[in-house]
Amino acid sequence: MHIPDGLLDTPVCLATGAVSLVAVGYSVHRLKDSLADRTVPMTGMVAALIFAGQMINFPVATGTSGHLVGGVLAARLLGPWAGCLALTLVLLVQKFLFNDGGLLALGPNILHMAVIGSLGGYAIQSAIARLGGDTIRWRLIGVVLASWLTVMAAALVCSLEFAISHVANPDFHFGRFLALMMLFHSLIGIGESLITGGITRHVALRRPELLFTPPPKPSRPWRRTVVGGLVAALVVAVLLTPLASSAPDGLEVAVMQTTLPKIDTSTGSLFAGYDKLLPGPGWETWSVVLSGLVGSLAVFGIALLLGRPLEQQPGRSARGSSD
Amino acid sequence: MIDSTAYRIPDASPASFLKLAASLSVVLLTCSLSWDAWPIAGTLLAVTLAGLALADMPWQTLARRLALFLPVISLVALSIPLSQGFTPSWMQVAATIVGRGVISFLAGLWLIRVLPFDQLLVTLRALRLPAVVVASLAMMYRYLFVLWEEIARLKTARRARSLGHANTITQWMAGVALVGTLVIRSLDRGDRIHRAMLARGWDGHIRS
Repeated sequence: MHIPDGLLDTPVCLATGAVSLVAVGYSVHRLKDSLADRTVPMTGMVAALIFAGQMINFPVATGTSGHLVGGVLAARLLGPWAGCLALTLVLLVQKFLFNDGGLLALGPNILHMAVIGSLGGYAIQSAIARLGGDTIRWRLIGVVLASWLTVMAAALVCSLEFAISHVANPDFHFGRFLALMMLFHSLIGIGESLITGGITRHVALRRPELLFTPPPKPSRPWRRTVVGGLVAALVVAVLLTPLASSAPDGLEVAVMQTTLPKIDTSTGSLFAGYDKLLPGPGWETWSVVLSGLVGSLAVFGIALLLGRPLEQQPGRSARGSSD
Repeated sequence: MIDSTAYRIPDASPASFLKLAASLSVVLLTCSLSWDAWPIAGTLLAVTLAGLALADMPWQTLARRLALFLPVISLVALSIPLSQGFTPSWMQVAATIVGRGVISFLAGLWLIRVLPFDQLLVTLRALRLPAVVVASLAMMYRYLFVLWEEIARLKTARRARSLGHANTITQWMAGVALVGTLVIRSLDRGDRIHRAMLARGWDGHIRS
């Protein structure tokens, strides 16, 4: 997830760095209004926690593994402003203690993980939680959906930054790059929502007060929440996918005309058949739509799975943490 | 040594600013170079390697870090031809990304070698970063190692019970439970620290 230096152009890094600086600066400004004496120890502790949590590997396939990103989790534990600061601190420590990620690329990395992850993630999860009356189950569903959507949104923003960096390269097809990024991050997002949702559920079952202030009204009937959640997830996916696929079209058509002859000249090379493997010119749009739909259905399934038995086990909430 | 950083903050030395500025300018320059300017890139690489040699960087560590970094940057560079098709310029684009990435990575390694984290905290404070940011960063650095040990204990407990054999689903569930337990313990610990700070007169204002 960490962008190294050299991938994005310097102006792109500086511009995203300015956006990140304003967003983190505003978060710090908002923190001064809140419980100031609690901010420093809790933000530092949650930042250390997210950092340590990222050390735990989750096996994916032979040899590869994934880990937590944590923006949505930090926002759930601390609120959006301190969550954004905590993720920024995580990225600073990863850079200046372990040399993970780039120095100039701190700007885009903070934008993707702290700003989109925590500020965006908090907005999404609280909007979804409010749909269901802000019960603990709906907060969990909000966490699951927000985890997937923030990963997808970060991938989209990252693709845009990458396209701007390579706009001088006539061979660059934005649509194809976006499609690869979206497909890849659709899977990463499913992992993130499984991990973040699982952790939130673990805490909600044992110590709900850490995540949650009790709701003023009782929860709504289960059937309505299923339908509402599915509709909400699909609406967000459908809203997201045209946004993702409509932007490249103009650029792509312009680029296509200049590059098609060049692709033909490469037919003698080792990878001559590569372009013929791609099923038709519209494959990138469809794969983005498909990754959006499959991802949102999978994430909704996760939300259903993790959220359902929560309120059927009232006895477990009295128990302390078991290890 | 770790104990001292959060509580006693020394003064920033001018050398720290220079180190930070030197690393930043190498990265800035490297990432602004075009493909044709490879002699300048080579010079920057030589300067960075000389800096690493002057900082007594053990070459085994350097090789190990590079061995971990090169596959990542190569994969990132390959994402372009994989999505774009292997057009005539793919090699040049990929080589540019790998070259810029490696020089910047080495400059970053030099920086963390010559600028210890407590010195960085002091430098950031001298650069007028908001006090709440620097104090939270110092807190995080202080408790990072505590949580690290907490994770090691949880992992030992997991290993003692699973006997090392687990399928993927079990591993995911165990990992989630492990981080979930860490969340509970660290939030409780943060709460205890907050109360201990209050008992010692903490009111949210950092005095130095």
